[in-house]
Order: sequence, then C-alpha cells, then structure tokens
Amino acid sequence: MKLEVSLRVALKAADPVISTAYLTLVEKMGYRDKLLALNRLESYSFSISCADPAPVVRSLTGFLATQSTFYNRNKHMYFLECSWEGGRHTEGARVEQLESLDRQVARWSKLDEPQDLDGQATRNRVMLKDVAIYRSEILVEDIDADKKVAVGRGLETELATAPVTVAELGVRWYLALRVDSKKEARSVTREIVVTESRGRGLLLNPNHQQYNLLSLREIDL
Amino acid sequence: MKAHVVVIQFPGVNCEYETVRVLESVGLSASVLRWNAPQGELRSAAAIVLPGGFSYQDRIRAGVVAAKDRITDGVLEAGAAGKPVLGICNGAQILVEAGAVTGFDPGVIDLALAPNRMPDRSGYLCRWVRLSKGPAPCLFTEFMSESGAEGAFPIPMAHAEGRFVTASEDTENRLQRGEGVAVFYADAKGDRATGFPENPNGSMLSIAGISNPDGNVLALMPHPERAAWMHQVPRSVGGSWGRSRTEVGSGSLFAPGPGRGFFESLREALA
Repeated sequence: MKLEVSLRVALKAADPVISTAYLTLVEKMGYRDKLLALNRLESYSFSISCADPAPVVRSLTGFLATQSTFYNRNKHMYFLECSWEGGRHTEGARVEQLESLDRQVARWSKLDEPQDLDGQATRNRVMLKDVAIYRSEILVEDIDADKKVAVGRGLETELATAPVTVAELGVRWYLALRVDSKKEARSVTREIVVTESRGRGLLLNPNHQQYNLLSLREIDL
Repeated sequence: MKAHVVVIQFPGVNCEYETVRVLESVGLSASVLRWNAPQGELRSAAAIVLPGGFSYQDRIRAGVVAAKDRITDGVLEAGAAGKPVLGICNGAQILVEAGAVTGFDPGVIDLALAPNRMPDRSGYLCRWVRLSKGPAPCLFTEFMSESGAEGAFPIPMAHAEGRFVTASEDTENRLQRGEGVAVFYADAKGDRATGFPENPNGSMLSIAGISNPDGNVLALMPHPERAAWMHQVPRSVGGSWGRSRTEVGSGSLFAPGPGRGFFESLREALA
C-alpha cells in the first residue's frame, strides 16, 4: 500500500523573507502597480510504501514532533496530511490558514477608507476597485534531486520503513496580481519569479532552480 | 596620494572593517560606505570592495536583494568603466546575482552560487582551503604563481551557498576553456581539486573565483582578508605557509599572510 504524505510549513510570526521579497519587488523592481501581496510556505510531499499505514503514520507524527528536520514546533505552524487507500489523517493548522493570501486581499477590498500611518488614503482601494485580482501559486525547487534523495534516505532510517520517494521539496510562493487577464498574470508571474537579469526576476535563479506554476485563478472578492 | 577604495556596507555584512584594515595595511586609503549613502564617494573611488557577511540576512537567496539595490548600479558602472571591483564571499554572491560576472552575455545572469554540495552533510561550512591561479587574466590574482605546491595559497572559506553552477551551455563551455576562471580550489600540489574537502562545496570545475572578461571584476568565495597576517594562519595548513607559520612562532605574527596578495595586487593595479 502506498501512503501519500503532504506537509506544509510556515512561520507562526510574520515571515521576514516575504516582506523582504515584497519590498524588493515593489520598491526596487517596479511592481508596485501589479503585485498586491505575497506569501510563501515550505512544502514537502513524499510517498511511503508499506503494508499497514497506521504504524507508519504514528511513527511519522512522532518523528515530526521530536525532530526539527522539517519544522520546529516552537516557531512554525504546519499542516500534515497523510492519505492512503481507505484512510486519511490530518493534523496541524488548516491549510487555508497557511495559504491566507485570498483572505488578505479580500479584506483589503472591503476597507471603507484605508489609510496609512500618516492618515493618507492608501492606494489599495483604488487598485482593488473594479479590477481583477489573480492568484498564482508556484513551487520553487532545486534542479538537482540530491536533496530529495538525501531526505528520503533520512526518513527511511528514522521511520525504519520501506523506500520513501520524495516528490516535492521546495518553497510554494503565492502571488496576488492586479493584471488585466489570466494570460498577463501568467506572464507577470514568470517575470517576477525567474531571475534572468538584474532588473527582471527575483524568486529563483534558473541556473540551479526551477519552478512549476501549480495554479492560477481569479480571486473571488 | 594614496588611491582610495570604498568598502560597501550592506545591511547584514560583517567583514567590512577587517577588509578596510587590510586595504590600509597594504598602503591604500579605504573607508566604509553605507548602502544607502549618496553615491558621490562611490563615483570618486578608485576601486570598490563588496565584503563578506549576510546582506539582508541571505533572504530569498544569498546576495540577490543587495544585487537589486540602487548602489549596485554604481558598482556595475564602476566595473564597466574598468575600475577594480572585488566581491568577497557575500560580495561575490551579490556580483553573481547582479550579472557582473561572467560578463560573457552582458546583462544576463548566467551563473548561480548554489547551496554547498558535500558528502553526508549540508549547509554552512567553514574551513581552510587552497587556491591556485586560474588561466583567466585578473588584476587581483597577479601575485599568484601559475601552479605547483608553492603556488597554492591557503585561505579560509565560510559559506553555505558557494557552489558555482550554470545552466548555460555556452557559459559552461567557456568556463571549461578557462575563460573567467581566475582562481580554483587546489589540492596539496596546487593542482585543481577533484573532490571534497579540497573542493569544499562541489563547485563546477572547482572554481573559487570568477572574473569578468577584462579581469577587473572578481567574485571570490574564500576570504583573503582573514588570511592577511601570519597570526591568522594555523600551523595545520601545511605546505610552505604552514612551515612559515611554524618558523615565525610568536615572533613575527604580523608578517604578511597568504591572503594579502589579493590586496597587494590591487595596490599595484592602482599605482
């Protein structure tokens, strides 16, 4: 039987990587009018071959509770989902809580008179009025699979189980984009993600990383 | 009048003052310039050094946020104008993320400094390595002999993301031909390192430093400013430098160390 495991990890406190990436894109790279919000979380998924999933799930959750390989309970929140034929086990934060971008954008769109700290009207209301907001979700991973193999071997040792295949080991970024069309959203996502030149791209260096566009849809405000 | 070198202090770097100290010790004038300072001093500088550390806490990728800073415009302009620009460790990561090296395809970022690849471990590594002069002309490496044990310079490295890689076939071919390869990790004989730990991070072709085609911009991962005086050199480095360290004992601990040559070559280039 195959046990599929999905783990998402984010900081409990504000993630400074997100704010640095957002400010770099908005203040230094000219995406003020297009990029509304940004979010990220670490993402792992792997499959374990086993005869009986129940003890493996117990072993896995026990390992996650005591090791800091994937997250540290003192500073991270997580969502764990284990699924197998005829069963499912989840624990941790709801995945929607980790992927809070939609709620954030929706909240901005409902503000009556949004103001900054100086009492000046911010641009959010203008930007969100009668416009389409697209949300893209991407996965950034290293091109070479060495790390996946190493994590898989580590899990095999820790769980004393059959081969572990790590399918996903990277960072999921969520972008809220104010653009005119889905096609433009796709194009801007790539522009922001892939560092091709100093003025273009930030989130990955294509010389050792790659990305997958996991989803792209309009946010329901 | 001494030539003036500016050492740029991005938020999070931590080697700016020892870099200034070494520059001054070889007879240059040097000062620290904050990343958000007016760029007048940068334009009047004879040379620029981007020191080691953790600019912007290495967020997203080491060096990438500083590479987008306005002051980096001035660094790239200086490099394009032929002024010497040296990036050490995090400074090298900034130069790579800014596309200042290799310079084969101007404006294109054809390199990355990827996470170290080491057997049975990952992350940060700090150790002494040996460097030899590569085939590419570079004003910072003029002091190094071509090869051989006496030409291998022990210098400390300290980084988590120092593995030179490229996805560009053209760049890889040119690096294999020696273009841009200013410094490489070496074994005890001074020959190109073939594996860990001589090549401490799995860098392609054991490259430790890459220069631009004109040889005035160098992205160097090891830290020469941490090997500028003999008292910084452990006896355990072996070779001629290890013997020298043993011979000086506690007598001449401020005698020149193996890393000082990078700064002396800069002084000669500015003379």
